[in-house]
Amino acid sequence: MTYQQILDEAIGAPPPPAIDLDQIIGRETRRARRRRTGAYAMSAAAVLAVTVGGGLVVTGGPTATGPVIAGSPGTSVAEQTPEARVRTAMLAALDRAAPGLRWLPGGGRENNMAEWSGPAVAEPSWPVNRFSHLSASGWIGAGVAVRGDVRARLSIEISRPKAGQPAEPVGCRGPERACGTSLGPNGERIRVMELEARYEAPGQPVIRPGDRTVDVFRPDGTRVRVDAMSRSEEFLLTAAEMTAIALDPALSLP
Amino acid sequence: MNRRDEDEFREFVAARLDPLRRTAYLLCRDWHTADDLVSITAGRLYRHWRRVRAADNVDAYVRGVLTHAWLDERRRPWRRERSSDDLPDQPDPGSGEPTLADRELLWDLLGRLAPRRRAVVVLRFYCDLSVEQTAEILGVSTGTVKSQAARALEHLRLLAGNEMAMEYGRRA
Repeated sequence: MTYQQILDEAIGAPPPPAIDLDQIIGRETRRARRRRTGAYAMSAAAVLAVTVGGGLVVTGGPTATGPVIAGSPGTSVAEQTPEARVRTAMLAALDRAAPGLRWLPGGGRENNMAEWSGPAVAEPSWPVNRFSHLSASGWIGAGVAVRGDVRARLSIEISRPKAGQPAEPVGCRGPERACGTSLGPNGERIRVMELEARYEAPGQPVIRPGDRTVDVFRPDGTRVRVDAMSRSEEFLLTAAEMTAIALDPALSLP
Repeated sequence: MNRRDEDEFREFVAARLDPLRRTAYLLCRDWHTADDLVSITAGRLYRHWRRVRAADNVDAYVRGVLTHAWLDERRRPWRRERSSDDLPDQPDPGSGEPTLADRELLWDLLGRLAPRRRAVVVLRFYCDLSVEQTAEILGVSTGTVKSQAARALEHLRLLAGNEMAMEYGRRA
């Protein structure tokens, strides 16, 4: 028996592939388009800089007129919609505290673990939605994140109690698997909870998914909640990483 | 990329999908990650398709891209695997063909190999690349490939030659 045969034996029968060539080609095409657009924008910016520079040297001469740049593809934060601002801040906070997370493409599958298969991509879809409960309102963004072998629903929620509504108690409630509270560097109150959960995939034994929630209650009344529920018993992020995300000052209500 | 190139790319990847997935699985030992690695590899091939087509040995080139995709992924802190000094369970030495226990043991042994040594084993003995090709992909000397392969084979030979029982007898 050759080594190749031995290794093939060890591999066994592979599961159906979760590789979507159409998606890969689409992603690469978009990437190439973005690169081209970026290159054109940089060229235009370079032309403008040279022209303006020339104008400064020829002080007192005719005003240099640079080329008209139509619609830069980059949009400043001030020009973004509230939804886009929240999304940008959430993704930046994730990138700062837990760089390199990968994502399952497409939205809408966060709440169905059975759909958490397939290849991960670098760019999250991360839809952000505004919500309004009886007592509080805010924004929530979510996606299925992948880190190593762990896949989890990851969400960030930024909210504030409505006028006249009491703030949420910060202490531990009791039924959590584990819970602890602490103080943040700017007076924030932090609560880290590991929650009890059970999940049974078809034909598989019941597991206790890693389910952790970190709440940060800021002195101004804003609450930032980071929640991650894995499809396996391992946690997607450490409590420290989740706390760092929730403490990120960029996460604020628009 | 024009339509013709894209069709050619699709055919190319479709024809190699199974061996690429199996190679990726040997490297990372997880089907989800293996599919991720193959997707990353396919993306890179698409990006540099003209360069890929111009390669002297396209299959060696592709396996190089795949191996680097895996090594890059492993550099992320959460990819670092735990090593263990525990001996694996004793396999059933009664059969001349590899048994389920043998396969599990081989799997376990592969998992214990350091990443680059595992890559040497996979490229040399599963992908059947030459010492020179393996060295070029991994950016090491041919001597390093030979020595790493020899050390890794000390373990794998036990399975191929059904010498497991003797070895475990010596350890016991």
